[in-house]
Formats: sequence, C-alpha cells, structure tokens
Amino acid sequence: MLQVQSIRAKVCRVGAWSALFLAVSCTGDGRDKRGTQTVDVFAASSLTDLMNEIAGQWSAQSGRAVRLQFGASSTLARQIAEGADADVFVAADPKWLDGLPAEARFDWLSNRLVLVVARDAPDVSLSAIESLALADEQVPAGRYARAAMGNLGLTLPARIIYGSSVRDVLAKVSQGGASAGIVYATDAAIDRGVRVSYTFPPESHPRILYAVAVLAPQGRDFFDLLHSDGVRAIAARHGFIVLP
Amino acid sequence: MNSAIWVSVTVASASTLLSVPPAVFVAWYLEKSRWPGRWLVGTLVMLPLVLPPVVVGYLLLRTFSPRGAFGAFLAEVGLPVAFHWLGAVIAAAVAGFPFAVISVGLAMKAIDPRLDRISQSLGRSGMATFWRVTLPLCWPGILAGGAIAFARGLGEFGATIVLAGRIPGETETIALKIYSELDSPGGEGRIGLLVATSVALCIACVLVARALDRLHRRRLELDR
Repeated sequence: MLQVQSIRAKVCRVGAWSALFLAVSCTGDGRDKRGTQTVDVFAASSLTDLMNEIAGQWSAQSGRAVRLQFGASSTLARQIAEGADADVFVAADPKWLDGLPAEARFDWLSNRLVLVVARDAPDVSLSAIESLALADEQVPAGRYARAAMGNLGLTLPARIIYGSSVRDVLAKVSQGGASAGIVYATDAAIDRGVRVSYTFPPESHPRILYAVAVLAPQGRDFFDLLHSDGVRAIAARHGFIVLP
Repeated sequence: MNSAIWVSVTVASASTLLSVPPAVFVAWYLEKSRWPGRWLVGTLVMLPLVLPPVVVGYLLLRTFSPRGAFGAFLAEVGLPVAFHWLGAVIAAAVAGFPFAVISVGLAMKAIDPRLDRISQSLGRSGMATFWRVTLPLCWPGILAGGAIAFARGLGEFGATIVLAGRIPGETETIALKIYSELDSPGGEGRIGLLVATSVALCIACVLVARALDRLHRRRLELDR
C-alpha cells in the first residue's frame, strides 16, 4: 500500500513537471514571435520557389524571420478563416481573399496555364488524354484548368488523378501517375521531369491573378516589399507575368 | 461519395486477403523459430506500425514507380500498382500486416505447447503439425487478426495518397475523400456520412474481432 502511494506521488510529480515544462516552452514561443517580429506568410503553392527567394533575401537584410507556409489557396484560406495566424496571404485567385479581414490588398502577378507531359513522352492531343492530373475544383489551378478545357470544347478524360495543390499535380505527372497534367508555366519550368506540351491561350480561362493581402500590422513591411520594383524583377526572372 | 465507401471496402477486403496468409506464416515462424537472428524478422515486421505512413508510401512508390524497371514490368503484365487500385490495396496491406501478425501470434501463444510436442512425437513433421494442429486450433484467432487488419486497411491514408494518389472510383477511399472534402466549400455537410460510415465500420470490425477472440479462447477452454 505504502509503495502504491509513493508511486502515485512520483507520477504526480512527473505530471506537474511536464505541465510546467509545457507551459514554459509555450510562452517561450510566443515571446520569440513578438520580440523578433516574425512574419507569417501564407502563399499559393505555385509561389514556393519565388517566395523562398524573396523571403530569404529580405530576412538577411532586415533581420526579421519569415515563416512561409505553402498550399492550395483554397486550403490556406480555410485555415486562415479557422484562425490560423497569417500576417500576409498571397492567393492564386483573388476570390480567396474575399471575406478575409484584409487591411489592404493588391493584384500582384499573373501566369500562364500549360499542359505538361513527362519529359521523355510524346506530345498528347488535348482531346485524347489517357489520364489527366488535375487540381481539385476549388484550387485555383483546378478552376482555371476546368474553364480552359470547357471553353476549348473539350471534355475531361474519364481517368483523373486529383492533386490537392498545383505542385501536387506536377508531382503526379513527373512520378508517372498521369500521362498529362495542367499546371502553371512557372511550375513546369522548375521540374526537370516534365515538359510543356501545350500552352492554353489566355482567353480560354479567367485571368490568372495572384493577389496579396495584409491581415495583421506586423505583415505590413513584407506586404510593401512585394510591391517594390526589385521584387517584381525577381518574379519576372522566375517566369511570372508582372502586372503594371 | 458512395463510390468512396465502395472503394474503401473493396480495397480493405483485398488488402486483408493479401496480408493475412503471410501474417499467419510469419507469426508461426516467430513463435516456433529458435534462430538467434529472429529478432530481426520481428523488427522488420513491426516497421510499418511505427514508421511514418508517408515514409512507407515513399518506399513503396520507389519500389513500384512506373518510372522504375519493376513498376514498368508490372504495368506491362497488366498489374499496374502505383496510381492504380492495386497500389491502394498494397498500401493498406502493408499497414495492416503487423496488426495481423500480432493478433495471430497471440492466438498461437494461447495454444497449449504440449499439443505441438505430442504431434511431433507421434511422427508429424513441423509443417504437418502446423497444418493439422496449429491452424485448425487457431482459425478464429486468424479471422480476428483479419478483422483488425481490415480495420487498419480502411483507415490507411499516408501511404495510400503517396503510392496510389487520389483517383475517384479507383483509389479514393473514405479517408482520402474526407481529406479532399475538408478543403472544398460546402464539403462539411458531405463529410458527415463518410465519418459516420468510417466510425461504424471500425466499431463493427473491433466487435467482430472481439467475438472471434472469445470464440478462440472458448475453443481452447481458457475461459471456463
């Protein structure tokens, strides 16, 4: 009996110490964030390489950390709506900024929509695609792709492998999961496993627009940075269409 | 939506048929073997239980990739794995395998070891003893292992999305469908039925496994 009690006391002590440790580590994180003014940036997955470069340069100059989170704009919008901490949000479709409490916003960049195939595969006919990798309907790349196929009078093939973001679609083609996929021109350019088989005419789909919103004061500096000519030049080098 | 339920049930069923027979042999081997290196086999068997499922998926994709020689060969002979139904089956089978081994192993442990020795002293070989004594004695335990492997197969997500992708009607299981609906506007309403089905199927599996386990113990007269 005595032994049982001493074990119980030990368990309680361990529990109390772990609770204390947890509490300390949690407050530590919060203080770090306010102290160094970390900026939380949520960005469409097609911006991954561009944003990494911009944020890396800016962090080195300003000494402020940028925490980047990439995903489908629709996914990120839902996470923000459910309370995720985002100071700046860049979506690949302005409609995902609607309804969010933005302090300011602007249209930043544009892109082209392309059909990619594996690098060593022959060109495919748009009307006879065996299997197509396609982003989900709510994902901007999926919405643009469906519009483009529809406006060109094409029906989607029976076998569709869905991607939860445009980069997921790209991976499915380079991994051999689908014979073709619809992604942005900038995505096609970064993957050595694929090549562009067809470029959709811009009038075949709603204009691709990357829109930026600042959602909290500590995101203001980064938001202004995206406006700058220097950053626009970097974006152009990555293959994005810079808006005037 | 119903197609996701159908895909889940067929994938989990096929994965159970695929994983349970080898699990029975492995459990029997681990139970009977006196080879000093058998801990290695035991460790390997348990790996899918502790590895991150996406790591399992990645390793499977590397093995079965249509870009690789083996995957290309399988596609050639009409058994494409990666990004096909069979890929979802294999992902679920690998995930369910350790559960089946553990469950069957426990069922075999419950058998009186003297029966084994008696059989062998009467001239039956080890293999014959397995077929004529062990297997007939522990079939409810094997079925219980199958029910648990089936339940685990139903819930497979990480390895499935990497190896098989999300193809409606073919590889999009309940778990994958819920994942995609979470992101789609208005998806919340459609998730309800899928979540309810998922919970109901798993509860049914656990109840079936428990009933079979009780039957097994009663047959061995352990519960009297």
